[in-house]
Amino acid sequence: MGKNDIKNELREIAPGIEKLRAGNPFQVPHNYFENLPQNIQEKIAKGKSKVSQPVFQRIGMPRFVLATIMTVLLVFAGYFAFFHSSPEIYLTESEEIFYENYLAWYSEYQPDVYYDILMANEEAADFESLIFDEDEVLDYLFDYGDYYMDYITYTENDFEN
Amino acid sequence: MDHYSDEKLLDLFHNSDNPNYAFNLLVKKYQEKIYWHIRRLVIDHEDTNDVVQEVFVKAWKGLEHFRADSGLFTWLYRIATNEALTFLKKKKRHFFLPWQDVEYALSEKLESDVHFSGNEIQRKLHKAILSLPPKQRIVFNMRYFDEIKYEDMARILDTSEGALKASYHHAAKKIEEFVKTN
Repeated sequence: MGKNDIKNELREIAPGIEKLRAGNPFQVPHNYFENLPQNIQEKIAKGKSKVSQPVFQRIGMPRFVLATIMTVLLVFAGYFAFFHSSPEIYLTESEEIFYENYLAWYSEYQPDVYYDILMANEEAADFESLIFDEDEVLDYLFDYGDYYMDYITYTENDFEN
Repeated sequence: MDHYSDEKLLDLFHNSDNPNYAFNLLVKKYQEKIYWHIRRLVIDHEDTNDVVQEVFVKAWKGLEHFRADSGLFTWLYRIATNEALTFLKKKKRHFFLPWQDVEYALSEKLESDVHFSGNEIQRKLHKAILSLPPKQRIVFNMRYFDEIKYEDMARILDTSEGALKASYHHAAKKIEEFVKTN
């Protein structure tokens, strides 16, 4: 298919734009194409100096040793993720307390307080879109110190009973 | 300027002591076609310059393994198309914009571009092209401006000739309508 065929095709489909093809309205800066090959060579040269060796070569370690170490690390990471991923409902005084733990506990054992916490976020349009700022929750809990004191004095056995 | 054939360029690149020289000849041979293909997609000269340089850096890295199953130009055009689309996607992601807004921004760019010297009707034509979805825009540009055969386009864009004909037909109709009504 030659140029005439392309013209004829356009004449059939959309004759109104067939004649607009003439001329290129875009321009380039003066001497742009004269300098472009040199600019590209410079970019390639810069890239060459940045090319880095693979990690195992950089740290001077055979590939299979690195693979073994990575596998062991992945197994440990998987173990901890699996056994520590469920929400900490049962907390003791000695555990570090995060606001997710507060929410989980309140939703389970003090639903009315949990509801109050949710409503404290005035900007929230619905339950699912709530995004709590940790400071907000901690402020709320600070304001309701009785609940907080009750909470931290519960023991694991109290919850189970 | 006389250009070497693709076979000669590849032979020089692979078998001479100075592959940089051969690559330089390759850039000189194809730079304008690749530049204009990208420029019509991303509009801005500086953006185009970045994408063009990236295309040739990728070509440099890949040329060693290039087996010439597809022609050199087809291969370069494919890299250029992918890089231009990637650039537009990045732009969309970076500014959290839907495609329509990216196109609107490019269209606005046409108004202020110091490197655009077209008259009102040409500006309108390019705005119409920018109103197309990105893939239709590529097909339209390749056919309308670069006069590439459907067969070659199919190889470059890795799709069927039927799909390309339909895209081009649809795009041309939409552009004609846009030019008439705006």
